[in-house]
Amino acid sequence: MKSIIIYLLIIILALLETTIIPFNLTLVTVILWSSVRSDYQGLSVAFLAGLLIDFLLGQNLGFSSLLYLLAVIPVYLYKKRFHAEKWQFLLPYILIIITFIDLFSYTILLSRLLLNAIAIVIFLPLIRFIASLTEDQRRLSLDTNI
Amino acid sequence: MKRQQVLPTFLVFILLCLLLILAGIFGFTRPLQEGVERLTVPLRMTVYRGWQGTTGGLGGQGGLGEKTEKEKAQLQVKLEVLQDENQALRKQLGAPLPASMKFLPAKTLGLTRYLTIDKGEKDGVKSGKLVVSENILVGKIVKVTSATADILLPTDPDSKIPAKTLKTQARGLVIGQFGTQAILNRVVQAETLTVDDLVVTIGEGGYGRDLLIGKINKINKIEVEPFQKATINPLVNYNQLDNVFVIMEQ
Repeated sequence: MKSIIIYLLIIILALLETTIIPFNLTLVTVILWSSVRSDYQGLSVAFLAGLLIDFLLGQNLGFSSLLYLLAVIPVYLYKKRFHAEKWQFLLPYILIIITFIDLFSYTILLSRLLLNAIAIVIFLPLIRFIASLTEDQRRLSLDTNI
Repeated sequence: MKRQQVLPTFLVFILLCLLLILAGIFGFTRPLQEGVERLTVPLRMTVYRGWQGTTGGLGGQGGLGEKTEKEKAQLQVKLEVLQDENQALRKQLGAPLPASMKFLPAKTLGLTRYLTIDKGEKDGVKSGKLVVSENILVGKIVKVTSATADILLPTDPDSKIPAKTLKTQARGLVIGQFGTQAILNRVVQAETLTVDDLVVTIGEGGYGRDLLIGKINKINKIEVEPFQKATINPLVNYNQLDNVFVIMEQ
């Protein structure tokens, strides 16, 4: 039930991203979420967040989801090798991904990258907190099942 | 989660994405997108108006007194919105533009890279149409969905508008700088630029004639260079625009 928090956060961020804040808040959150979650929920969050962005921007459905999934999969595959949950990995990784995406849509700007970096620093503790809430609940439900 | 477990899930999602993209190309997802857009447009407008500070807060349900107060506040907001709209229409009618021009009033929905408005294909809006506020150029439409359109602002680096100064008739190209400014570039050294001179369109590059772009606030003239430049400040604050007009016919 507590997983709904991440979906609510994604909805709010997607709305902000498509109306007033020109940064990749949703993508940042999706990658951060995948880095702290051990199950496949990051993939479904990436898929749904992409769909939401496509709906809000009125663009072809599936395009942003594809982009988000491709951004998330290396985090899952190399989680252990690169300690993907640590900001030392996340900060450069997300900035590289955003720069790559910006090649297709935006002009690459240092100020934009800087603001995205600030978003990562602010969001990481928040995402960790939400993840800890949902993980606790999952463990609790597993215990009661046993 | 092990790699063997992640990859099949990932591939299923990738397949779903590709199917959706394919369905989109053939137009199968269009009715769904149009339906969702009908819901998201008012939502986006509420968020944007909230941010602009023109709408009241959405408080929780209270007692009768609170409810009346809330209704009163909502009516006041509605009145203000209607007054703003009325004022914008009056200003637009009084703007020194050719009488043959036909306008479509639109409301702003958001400003990220582009300014988004609540009029789209279903209202006859097409890519390339110009958007004004009075006789000030707001931008050119670059992307249209069924219910919304994105406007490329003169301050965007992708925007290149052939223009001239009003007093000295110096010709150049207005190029956006991403943010709040644009630059009047490629003005030959022999021409004169003055601070506070207005910059208008010359009717080339898909932009109509005599639409105001901005005001010169700084001149950058280096004798050894072939061209001089000037920094332009827009005449409208794009963040605060509520009502704009799409030029449907010139």
